[in-house]
Amino acid sequence: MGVRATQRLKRRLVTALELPKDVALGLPVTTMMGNEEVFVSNHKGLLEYGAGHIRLATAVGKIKIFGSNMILKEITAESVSIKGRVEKIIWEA
Amino acid sequence: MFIKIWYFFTGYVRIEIAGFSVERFISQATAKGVVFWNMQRNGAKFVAYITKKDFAHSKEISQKTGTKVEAAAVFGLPYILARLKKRLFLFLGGLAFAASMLLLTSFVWRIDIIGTDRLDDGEIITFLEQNGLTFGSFRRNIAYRDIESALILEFLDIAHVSLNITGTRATISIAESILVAETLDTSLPADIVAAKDAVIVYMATTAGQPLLRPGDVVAAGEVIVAGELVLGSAEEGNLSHAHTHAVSEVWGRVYYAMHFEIPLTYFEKTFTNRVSRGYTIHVGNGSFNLPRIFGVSQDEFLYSVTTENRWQLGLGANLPLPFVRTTTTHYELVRHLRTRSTDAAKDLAIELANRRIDEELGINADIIDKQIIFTENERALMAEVFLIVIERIDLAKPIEMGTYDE
Repeated sequence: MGVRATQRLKRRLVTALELPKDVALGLPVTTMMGNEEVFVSNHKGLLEYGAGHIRLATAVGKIKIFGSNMILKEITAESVSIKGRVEKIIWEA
Repeated sequence: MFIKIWYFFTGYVRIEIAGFSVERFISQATAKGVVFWNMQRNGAKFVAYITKKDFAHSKEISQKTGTKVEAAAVFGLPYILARLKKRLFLFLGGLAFAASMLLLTSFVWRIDIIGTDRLDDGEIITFLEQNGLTFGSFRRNIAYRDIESALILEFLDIAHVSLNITGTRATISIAESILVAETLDTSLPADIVAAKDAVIVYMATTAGQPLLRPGDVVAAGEVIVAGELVLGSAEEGNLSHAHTHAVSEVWGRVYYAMHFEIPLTYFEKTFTNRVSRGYTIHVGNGSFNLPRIFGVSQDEFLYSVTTENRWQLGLGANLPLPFVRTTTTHYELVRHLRTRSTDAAKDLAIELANRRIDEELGINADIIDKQIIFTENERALMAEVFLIVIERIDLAKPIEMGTYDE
């Protein structure tokens, strides 16, 4: 059984059992506080911290957060808290 | 908030990260458990904060990722202590200060008594001293509950007491018992006697044998209504005595005479602007006066008014320390001899008379006539005040049964 097939089976099982997907599949959870704060948990690392954007790796792709005056309020192995004026969030497959 | 306190105690570093793969460095470091906070891009450099422990780890990772990590500033207790180690005497002084504070705060340096009205604070302080609570008592040796119990047993006027020691301040909160008016047991035989010399104007007797009637003159202490009832008659041979608690409302016309003498000369006191201050320092139970360096001496004042102000050194309200400064201030006065006009003296006499009448007469007393006769000599004005007042004069007086034949 290949990796993709295993993943598919795992996903089906999690859906059938109604398990929390962030815990069971490691899917990222993105929480926004207005346009002032973004909290991303289950990230896989910081890919880019540019002048007007921050890019993070996740289990399902990359998340790109655009904005100004953005600071990494806290970054740990599990979560990132970004503070600043958030303008746009894009998921890259 | 708490995490910041924690970081302060463990120490933290503001770092500057530079290089081509800063993001890689951050990802690798976070994967190894390093926590960054308040990370900001500052041109080509990144500025962030990490704990002292993580800073050491980050050095290794930076070598692998080819980035340069530098400490821009250090914060927190470990770094402060490290700096202090170089200044040994400052460090030792701080320790000595902390130790002396710890020692000083183990004793009671102030005793406050609150809630007393009739009781004398001085007596309570003396009693507390005898029971182990005084200025300088070791806090651990104070038997709170025993002192409270002893106070209640010693002072019958205390209904409730609580002793609280907060910091170095002992507070005794006292609730005094309520004074109960002395009442006569109505089951015991009693006469109604006159409370004052008067002419009776009204009587309403509900129990007892009236001996007098309205219009009669009565002297203070004279029986108005007897509690002894005479039953039957001697002629019929069935004479007997019974006793009751006489009850009667008796109003009488009472005459008052008051005398006031108002001097026609008096001294008016005015303050000059000269003030003399003296300072006394109390350390524990000892005290010494600070020598006067500036200002005038109190000995130069012929007349003065003195005030005393007490200030105790402390760390807030609940941690007074055994250092007290007393400031004694003498304000110089000068006396000017003034004369008072006859009219002013009369006004003053009337004012004093009214004040005395308010003090002496009850609220139910009805003044039906008031006369003031003034006489004057070269020194003073004399005022004779005559009052005719209608007021209650009945007073219950218990009968001593031993004096009666049963």
